[in-house]
Amino acid sequence: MKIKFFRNISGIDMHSRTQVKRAIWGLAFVLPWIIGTLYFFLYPMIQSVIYAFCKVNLTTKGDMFVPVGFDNFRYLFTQDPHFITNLTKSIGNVVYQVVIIMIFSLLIAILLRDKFVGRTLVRAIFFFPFIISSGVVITILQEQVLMTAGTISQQQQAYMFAAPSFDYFIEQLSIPESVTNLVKTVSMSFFNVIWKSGVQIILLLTAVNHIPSSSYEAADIEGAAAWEKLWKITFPIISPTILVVLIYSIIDSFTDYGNTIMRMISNFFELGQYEYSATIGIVYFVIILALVGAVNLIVGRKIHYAV
Amino acid sequence: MRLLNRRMQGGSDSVRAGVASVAKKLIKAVFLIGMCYVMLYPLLFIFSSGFMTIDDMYNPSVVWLPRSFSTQALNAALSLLKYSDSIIKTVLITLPSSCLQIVTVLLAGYGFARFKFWGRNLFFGLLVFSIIVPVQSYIIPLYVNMKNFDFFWLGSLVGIFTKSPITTNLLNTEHLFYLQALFGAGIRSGLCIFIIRQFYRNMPLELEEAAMIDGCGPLKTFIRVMIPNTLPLIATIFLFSIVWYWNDYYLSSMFYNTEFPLSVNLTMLRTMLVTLSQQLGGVSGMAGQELILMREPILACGCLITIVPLVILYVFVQRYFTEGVERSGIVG
Repeated sequence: MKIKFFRNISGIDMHSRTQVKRAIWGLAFVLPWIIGTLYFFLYPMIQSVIYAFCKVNLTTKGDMFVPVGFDNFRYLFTQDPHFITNLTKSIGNVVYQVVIIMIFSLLIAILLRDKFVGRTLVRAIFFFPFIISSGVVITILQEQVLMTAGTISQQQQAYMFAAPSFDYFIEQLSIPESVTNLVKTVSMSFFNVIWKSGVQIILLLTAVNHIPSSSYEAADIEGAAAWEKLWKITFPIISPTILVVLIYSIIDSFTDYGNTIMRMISNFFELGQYEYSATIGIVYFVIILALVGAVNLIVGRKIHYAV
Repeated sequence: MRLLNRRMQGGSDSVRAGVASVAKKLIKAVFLIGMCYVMLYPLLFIFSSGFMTIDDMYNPSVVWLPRSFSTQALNAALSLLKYSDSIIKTVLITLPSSCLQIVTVLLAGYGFARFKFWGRNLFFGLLVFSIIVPVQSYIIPLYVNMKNFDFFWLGSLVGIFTKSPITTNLLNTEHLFYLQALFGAGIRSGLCIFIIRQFYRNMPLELEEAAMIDGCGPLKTFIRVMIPNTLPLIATIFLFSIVWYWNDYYLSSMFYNTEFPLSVNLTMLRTMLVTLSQQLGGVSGMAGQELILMREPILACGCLITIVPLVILYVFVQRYFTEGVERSGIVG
């Protein structure tokens, strides 16, 4: 009876010695990570969730917790003036950023697959955003180069990131203002966004490099056009990586420091309202989890695994 | 074969195909060069403004090339960042952590990709959850746990019997990063596991089956077959870890309070310069004024000397992960 139960929950046949042995090996491979994640992630996370249901006073004598039930959550959804607007704004931002990042990084990865003069150099250059974009360097550069603040180097601004003639051009086209604004936002943040696609380009490049050239040669003999090769060979083979990149982009955009909700979380944290910061965090991450789960379900069906 | 095919086409088809392919190449080249410019723009900017003198900075006729080359800002940045101390600290955090992390992460990724074990789906859910939740949301409990580190609850367990739990303070030491990395809870470990799992799942099974038939156990198969065949992936992940550790400033600024790694020093330098320039009138003395006026070159040089080691590292490693694939005969 017990054995049957085990078989049902894990798909492992307890009678088969090889399967049990492999299961134990699998567990052994994952074990260090399990220990670390339980101790360094889940345990503090649960403590943090407890904060969300309490009123917290961190004093020198010790920490005071007064349980308040769902009060923090109720406040968040019914009274907080910024949360709902910030949330919709950040979801909207994430959608268009992810679309741009995905298209751009796929394009670059496919272009960089072919052999051409100076390919190594170009690849090295496309790695560069990754080095700067994961740290404080990007913040400094954004202030200095993208000119979101400061006055000193105003004359440098005109060279690249603001294109007044372009703005003027699209204003002259008689299209609705909402469309013009969207185009403007996208073009303004385009450089911002492609700097964030370093990891994606590298991952896709690794995957594209892994495609056996024999499949392309076979397609050439069959007389396939470049477009067909792209859809019938490249995309299916790299589809597992595309899923990773998609999920990574979504998470990265949601948890980016510039994201409005992330800023709310750290602002309340700095103000000492740990419980409220934790509450926003929990609600936010449940939403992200739901979105990522939905994407995984929808896209995951189209994934083609070699095995 | 492809070449032959193309030559045959070229022979039978007319000049039109040739023109089209030249046009395609031209468009591609223009696009790539343009994108390279976008990518390199910050670097150009750093080089251009980092070595300017104050006169050139405020001279509107000087745009990209400074009239005279000056290392004034570079020297200021080196001393303000306490470069020699902080770079040693950064390397001490980054290198061992990345090495430990790659081992755990590879093992776990392989475990998730190829083995069925009890609770695998549950643990995989935990993995995805740990990727999504940033460390900011549980930093206080983590900080407290690090201050009273009880050896994975063992110390507290002993404490139940002896009334005095065994704990040790890990703050201000590098061991804290090493432990987290070794147990797969380092910076973005979860993401690395996810990438590796996805990659291994896509590898052909035949290789492992052949190794199994030859009598290799799972561990031996992993070391002898899987690792040599995925060196480009490992190089990529290793590089990711190094860059993420190198650039991390949130954890370091939390867990250290006397000596900081490079990224934290750079952040503090930026905050200092920004606040200084906000109270421009209040600053007295030539040194302070000069610091404010030189703000931009100093920050540019600070960025430069922070990322230069990473760029050098990349130059060495990149050959490994772009050429490695073509050299190894087996493909997935």
